[in-house]
Amino acid sequence: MKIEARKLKGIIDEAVTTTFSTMVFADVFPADPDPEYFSQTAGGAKIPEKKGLVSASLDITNPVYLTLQLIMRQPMAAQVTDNLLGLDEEADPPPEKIRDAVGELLNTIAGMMAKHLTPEGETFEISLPVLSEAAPPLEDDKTVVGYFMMDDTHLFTLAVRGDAL
Amino acid sequence: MKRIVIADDSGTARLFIKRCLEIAGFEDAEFLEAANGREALELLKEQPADLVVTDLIMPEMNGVSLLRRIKSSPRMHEIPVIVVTSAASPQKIEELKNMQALAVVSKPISPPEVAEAIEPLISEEE
Repeated sequence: MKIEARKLKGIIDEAVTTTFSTMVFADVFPADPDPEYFSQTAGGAKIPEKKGLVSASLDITNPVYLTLQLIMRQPMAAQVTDNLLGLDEEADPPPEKIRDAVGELLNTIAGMMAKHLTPEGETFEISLPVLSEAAPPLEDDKTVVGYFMMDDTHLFTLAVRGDAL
Repeated sequence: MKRIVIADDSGTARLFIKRCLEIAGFEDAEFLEAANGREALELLKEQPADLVVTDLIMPEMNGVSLLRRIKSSPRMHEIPVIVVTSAASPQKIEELKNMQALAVVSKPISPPEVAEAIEPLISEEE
C-alpha cells in the first residue's frame, strides 16, 4: 500500500496540532524550518544539531509500515512535560518524566495517524515508543518531515519514513 | 470512596487519565496506579476496585489480556473496565465491547470524553 506524501503531510499536521492542543494546551502550527535548526553539517548537507534534542520513535505496523520520530529541543520538552503533568514550572522536570511525556505524545499522534492511514475494515498495531538522542532525518523520497512551531517559540519536527512512501 | 485502578506503562498517561477522571466526577476517589496488566491484577487481588481504566498496549500484560482476565474471573467480572487507547480502529473497539469493556476512549482523551464514558457509573450512584 502506497501513501501519497502530500496526503501524509496533511495527516501529520492534523494529528500533531490536535494532540498538542488537547494534551499540552499549547498552540501548535505547521511551520517552515528555521535555518538555525540546521546547525550541523554532514556529507555536505546541513542537518539539525543532535545535542540537546529529545527524540522518541515508534512503528505503526500492519497493514501500513511506517516509523515515526518526534524530535524537540530540551527546553520545549521540559515545557511540554510541565503542561502535561501540571508541574511547577520553576523546577526542571526529571529526565525520565520528560522522556515519558514525549513518548506518550508520540503514541497519541501515532494512533490518530494510523486511524487515517488504515483502510476501512482493517486494524493496525503501534509499537511501544523508544527514546533516544537521535537527530531528525532529512526529507527524501522515503521520508516526510513535518515542521511545527509551539507557542511561537519552539520549533519541533515529526518525521515519518517507510517503504509505503 | 471509589477505588480506581489505572493501568498504563506511561506515568504521564496515568496522571493525565487521573486528572480527567477527577474533573469528570471522581474527585474524591482513591487512585491506584499500575504499569501493566500484571501489576493491575496484583492490585485487584489485594482488594476489588470500583473501576479499572487501562491502556491497550503495555509490556508484560496488555490491556486485552487484563480485560479478559477480569471478565473471566468470578470474583472480578463485575468490575467495569474502560479502555483508553491510541490503537483503536472501529474493529478493535467492537472487539473490546464484545469483551464487555464498559467504554473505549481514544487518545488524546479529554475530561468530556471521560465523563461520557463514566456516565453509567455516576447515574448508578445517583
